[in-house]
Amino acid sequence: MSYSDVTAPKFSPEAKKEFDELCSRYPNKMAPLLMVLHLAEKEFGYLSIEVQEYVANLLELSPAHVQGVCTFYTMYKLEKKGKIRIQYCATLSCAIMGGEKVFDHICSKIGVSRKGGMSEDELVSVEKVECLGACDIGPMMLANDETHGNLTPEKFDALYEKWKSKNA
Amino acid sequence: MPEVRWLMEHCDREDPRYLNEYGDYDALRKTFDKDSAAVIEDMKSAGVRGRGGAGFPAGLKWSFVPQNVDKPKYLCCNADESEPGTFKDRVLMEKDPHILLEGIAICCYAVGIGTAYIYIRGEYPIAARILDKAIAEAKEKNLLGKNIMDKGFDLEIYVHRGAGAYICGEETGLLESLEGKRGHPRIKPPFPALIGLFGCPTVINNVETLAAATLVMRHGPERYKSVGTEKSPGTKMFSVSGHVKKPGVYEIPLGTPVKELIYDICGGPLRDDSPIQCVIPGGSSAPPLTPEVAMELTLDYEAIGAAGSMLGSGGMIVIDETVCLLDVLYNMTRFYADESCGQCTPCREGTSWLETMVHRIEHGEGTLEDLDLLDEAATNMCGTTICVLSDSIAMPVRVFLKNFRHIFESHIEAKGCPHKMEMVSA
Repeated sequence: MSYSDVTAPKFSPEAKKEFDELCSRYPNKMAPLLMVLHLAEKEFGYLSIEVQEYVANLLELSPAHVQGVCTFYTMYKLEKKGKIRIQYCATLSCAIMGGEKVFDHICSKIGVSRKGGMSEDELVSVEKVECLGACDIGPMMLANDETHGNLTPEKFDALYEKWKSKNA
Repeated sequence: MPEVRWLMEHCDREDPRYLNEYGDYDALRKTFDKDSAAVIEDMKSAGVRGRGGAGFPAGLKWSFVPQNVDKPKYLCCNADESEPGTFKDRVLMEKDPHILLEGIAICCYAVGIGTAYIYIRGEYPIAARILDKAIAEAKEKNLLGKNIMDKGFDLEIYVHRGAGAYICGEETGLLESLEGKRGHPRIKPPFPALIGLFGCPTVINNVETLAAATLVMRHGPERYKSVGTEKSPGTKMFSVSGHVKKPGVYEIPLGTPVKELIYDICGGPLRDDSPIQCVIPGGSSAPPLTPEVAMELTLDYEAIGAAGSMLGSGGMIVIDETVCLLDVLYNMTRFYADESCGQCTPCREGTSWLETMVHRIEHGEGTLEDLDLLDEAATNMCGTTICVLSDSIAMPVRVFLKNFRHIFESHIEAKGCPHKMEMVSA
């Protein structure tokens, strides 16, 4: 192992139990990988190289394979994201309903460039993603697990205020 | 023809319909009274066609799986619904999860499968949680799990979450992803019915297809095909988005006129002063139609296919004249360039070049020769790759060039958008 035991990530007993249950669903140790990465993300916040190596070790996979998978799928957090992680739909149905304008507003509201990023207080991060499967309520976004649709600058501002007061 | 809500009978509610309201899997109970060949025969007779996009007859697909093999067999329910403009499966899973689970159990009984995975896209965390809960309560009532209804049939269903990759909706990309790898599609043959998940015989069906199996077994194949057309029987869920007054998911008999769906059911164009400019009938991979052509068509696999497009997943996107169609095409090319898995050169390179060229023309830096180049590049992307992601953008590009050529030309002539329309895609 390339990391020292002091900083090594380790599943809590509850997460370890969940890990074992996930592994029991598949006939080999590679197949649970996507689900285990979701679990590791929940447990450790994001998938650092150390976490990837820990998962690789648990599943008897090469760290290169795990990193290959982590980077192929867009949802895994490879770096720290905001407490509220906004995934903003940039695809056609949302775009033609004015999604770009609202996105610009969100970026300036939380103080990041149009490329997206995380607010200074680490409360909100925003990134553009492809179709989230809620095209009838475009423009829309996922904020953590919550879907917010028919977005307008005003509607976003109200949400933002709510998040701020909740996390003050 | 109004809506016929068979699959969606209980989708108009706030909370999911759990077991206390759903009942005790009467369709599965009826299924157990028949042998597996009879169940497959019922599916064939009902004429249920795959609702993921390809429209392949489901009963026939089930019959391709060999009966007597000494390997395990698997079912993968494709809940990866990632085709832009498609959101029907999410609604069904979030509102009525058991209609899907019962359909999965019916398929597994018919084909002799003991383990099923629901591959659900990572972007649907709520639907995944609802399915997990529904599976747990069904197991508790002996409707899933060991020795179901004391009939000696065992079935485990697991929810497997993806993590953001369009390509995993392609059935062999899905298999790779389920096996814990990057979602790189496999060369076919061999087809998954013989060598699929973990090298074993595998059925892969869309959510709506499996839910339809519940209807077929509950009410019989005759009732199922009492609506729809001869070659496209039954109902189909359509996801309508874009510039209509009432976007949403609607279940209608196949063969319903496009005009009825857009005008009568979805309330017509969003704005009274902006007519419809373009209709994408079946998700963004389906070549776009002019309104003149679209409004004369019926929504079935044959009619839409004959018009040079496809019914696909039933994700209809309606676009009015407030947006520039080149901007629309740019958004589409960017999507496919983003989502190409990178295995095959024509797709990996081609999708990015399409994106670059459309962007160039849209911003007034194109020439008339570019239109030939665009067509040539798109043509070279058709049929030259492992899966059809490449064709899925190449075909729309070619049809845009054919059906809306004047829009490209006017951008070249005016050295930019002639109507100075606001960009919808940065």
